[in-house]
Amino acid sequence: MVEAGGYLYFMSFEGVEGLVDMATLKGQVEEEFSLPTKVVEAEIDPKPFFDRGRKQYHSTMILKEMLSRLPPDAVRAVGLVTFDLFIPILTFVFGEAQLGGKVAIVSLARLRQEFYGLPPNPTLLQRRLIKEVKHELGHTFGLVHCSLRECVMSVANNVAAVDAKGMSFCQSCRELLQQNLRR
Amino acid sequence: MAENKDRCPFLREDKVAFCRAFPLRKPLPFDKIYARENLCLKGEYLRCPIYREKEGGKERTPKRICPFLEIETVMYCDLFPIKKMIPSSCYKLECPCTTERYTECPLFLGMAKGDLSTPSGMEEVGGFSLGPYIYCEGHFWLQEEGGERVKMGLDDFGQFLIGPIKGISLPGRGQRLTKGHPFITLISRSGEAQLPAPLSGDVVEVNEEVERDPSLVNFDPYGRGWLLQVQPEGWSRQRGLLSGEEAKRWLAEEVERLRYLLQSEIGVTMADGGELLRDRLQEVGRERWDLLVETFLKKGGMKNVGSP
Ligand code: SF4
Ligand code: SF4
Ligand SMILES: [Zn+2]
Ligand SMILES: [Zn+2]
Repeated sequence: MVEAGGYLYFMSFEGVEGLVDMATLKGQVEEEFSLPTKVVEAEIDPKPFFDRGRKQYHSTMILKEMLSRLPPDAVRAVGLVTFDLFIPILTFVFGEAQLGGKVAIVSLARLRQEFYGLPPNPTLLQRRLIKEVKHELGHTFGLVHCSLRECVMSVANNVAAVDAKGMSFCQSCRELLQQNLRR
Repeated sequence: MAENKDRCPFLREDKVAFCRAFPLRKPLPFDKIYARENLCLKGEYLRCPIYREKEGGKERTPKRICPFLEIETVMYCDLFPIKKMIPSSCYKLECPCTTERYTECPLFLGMAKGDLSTPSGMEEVGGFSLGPYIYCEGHFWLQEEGGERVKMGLDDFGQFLIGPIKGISLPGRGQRLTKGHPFITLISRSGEAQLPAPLSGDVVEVNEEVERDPSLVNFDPYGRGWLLQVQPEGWSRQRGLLSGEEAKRWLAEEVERLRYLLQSEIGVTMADGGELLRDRLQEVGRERWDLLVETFLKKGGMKNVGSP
């Protein structure tokens, strides 16, 4: 599944780099997934995917757009955005990923304390982001949700649940991940 | 980034209708007043027994809308495990949710610290409330009452799946239930569902309030929306019942399965976050709704329980 020489791309949308520590994120993801990473600016205009009624961006549409613009050496790509995302059946999404596919997306909007009217907390934001990025990448490597709360693959429907889960994969999710990484 | 500093971001709004002529201030789901058999909006309110009792049948206004109908916005807290509607007019000044003091609210603070401890009793699993009840196949809850009786109702997930309930038919007192055989009929905008009994026994009590107003099953599934009291047959030998941690795991799996089934329409992606939108479930269409009812409420999701 993972060709030698491929990269895991971070496609960073406008405003993301000023908010997060990309170097740390890269490091953590490289370690977890044993893949080299690259950060690029996403050359995607999200405007067509904005829903005026909901004041949110359609996550699946952006994923499709990302797929059509994948660099040839990309094994995986994670879009990072600052705006709020949705899919039609859910009130919002933190992120979305192709199950066993190539692309994933994570939104910072609801990971930021400011969204809840609280003072900014960059450390907390970084921790939340790393969890969500690992989680969505986990999906692209074929992992589904895990029932262990400490596992990063456990479900989180609100930010409290994001905080409650662990930073990394549980034993059995890790084993599955390793298998799928080798394939 | 918060839209309003004087308002907790976890405060949610919904519209409901109240009948001012009705002795109890009971909210009607907003979409229910648009139902065909509803009189309040159609100039036919003159036929409404509640209206007649108040006004003696004389026409008070030439309007089509009943003068007793009032539409109000209600609020609820998204972090609180049970969706409890609060009419916005009831909000007192001391309430933190609509002032800048929401940041002092214990629930809000719990979230801000990144550790939400839920109040005892009820908790939330994937947006659905789960209580200290015994759960059984097809999303019914049971509660032991005195004298070997059990109270029974549809759980929060079940009522969500059925959608806004417009009609209900319950078995009568003294009737015998046989496990797995249809015992109630629920009618919602999406269709009609006959659900199988989760246990065998004799009906000893029927919730007449719910027969008059089936929307109570949606609004208060574990409280005023209870359905029956039953004297079960061989209660101690009942199998396939879940409670506590086991029920929690089971419900989490059910929610996952539902989200997955709904999503497969869009493609094989996993989306994380948010809650299911009630009106979206209404849009799935009759066939798909039947399939969901069949999958979750008729066979029950009990087969996978206990698997890792
Ligand atoms: S028709 Fe008027 S009186 Fe009757 S239930 Fe509706 S609002 Fe109340
Ligand atoms: S109860 Fe607390 S957390 Fe919930 S809406 Fe009110 S202030 Fe916000
Ligand atoms: Zn796991
Ligand atoms: Zn997920």
